[in-house]
Amino acid sequence: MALETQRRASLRPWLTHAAAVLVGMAVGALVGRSTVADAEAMGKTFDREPLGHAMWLAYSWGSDEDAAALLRQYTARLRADPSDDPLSGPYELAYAEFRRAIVEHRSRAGLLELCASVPKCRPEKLDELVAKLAAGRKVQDDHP
Amino acid sequence: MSGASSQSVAGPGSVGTVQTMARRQTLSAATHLVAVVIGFGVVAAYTAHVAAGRMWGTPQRGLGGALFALFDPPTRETTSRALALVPLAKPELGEPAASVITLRLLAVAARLSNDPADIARAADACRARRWPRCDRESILEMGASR
Repeated sequence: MALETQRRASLRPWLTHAAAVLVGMAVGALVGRSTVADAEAMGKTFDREPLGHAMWLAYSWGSDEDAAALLRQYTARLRADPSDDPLSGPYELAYAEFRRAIVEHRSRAGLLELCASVPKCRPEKLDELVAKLAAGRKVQDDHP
Repeated sequence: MSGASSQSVAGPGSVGTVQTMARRQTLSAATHLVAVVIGFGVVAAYTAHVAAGRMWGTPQRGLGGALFALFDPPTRETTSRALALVPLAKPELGEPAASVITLRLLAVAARLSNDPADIARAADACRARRWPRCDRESILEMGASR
C-alpha cells in the first residue's frame, strides 16, 4: 500500500509536467492557427502578384498582343480565384475587363455591351471611364 | 496544507522543513513553466515552418514576395533576388508573363544603376517582345515604382 502511494507520488510530477507541456502546445496551436491563416492570405496575395505586375507593365508599355494576353490571363485568374476583398474585388475585375477591351480596340457597341454586364456601370459615364483607363496606357498614341 | 502538517510534526527542524518545501515548490513552478514554454516552442516552431510554406511555398509565391518587396523601395539586392526567381516560377507563370516580369526587373535595375549597359540590356528585352517604345526614357519609366 505504502509502495503504491510512493509510486504514485513519484509519478505525479511527470504527469503535471506533461500536462504543462500540453497546455503550452494548446496555447501555441491557438496562436499558430491565426498565424497560418494570415500566412495563407499573404501567400494568396504573393501568388497573384507576378501576374498583376506583368499585366500592369504590359498594359502601360507593352504591345497590344502582350497586354491583351496578360489581361485575359488576369481576368481568368480573378474569376477563378476572386479577391478576398468584397469591396475592391468586383471593381478590379471590371477595370481589367475594360482595359482588355481598350487594348483589343473593341467598338463602342462592344464597350456598351461590356458596361451592361458590369454592376454599377452607367452608359452615360462610359466615355469618361474609358478615357480614364486609357490614360494609363502610355503607348496609346502609337496604336491609334 | 502539507507544509502546515510538517511544521507541526517536525518540531525543532520546522523552519528548515518549511524553507525546503518552499524551495521545492518554487522549483516545481519553474520547471512547470519551462514545460509550458517547451510545449509552446515546439508548436510555434512547427507553425512558423507551416506558415513560411503557405507564404512562399511555391516559386510563384516566392517571386510574388520578391516583387512585393520592390515597393519598399527597390534595391539592387531585392531586384536581383527577384530576377533569380523568375526562371523558377516560369513553368507556373507561362509566357508572356515571365518575359514581361524579367523586362520589368531589368528596367528597375537599370533605373537603380543608371548604367548604359543595364539600360541597353532592358532595351534589348523590350525589343525582343516587339514593344512600341524601348528608348532610354521609356525604359527608365518602366523601372519606376507602380
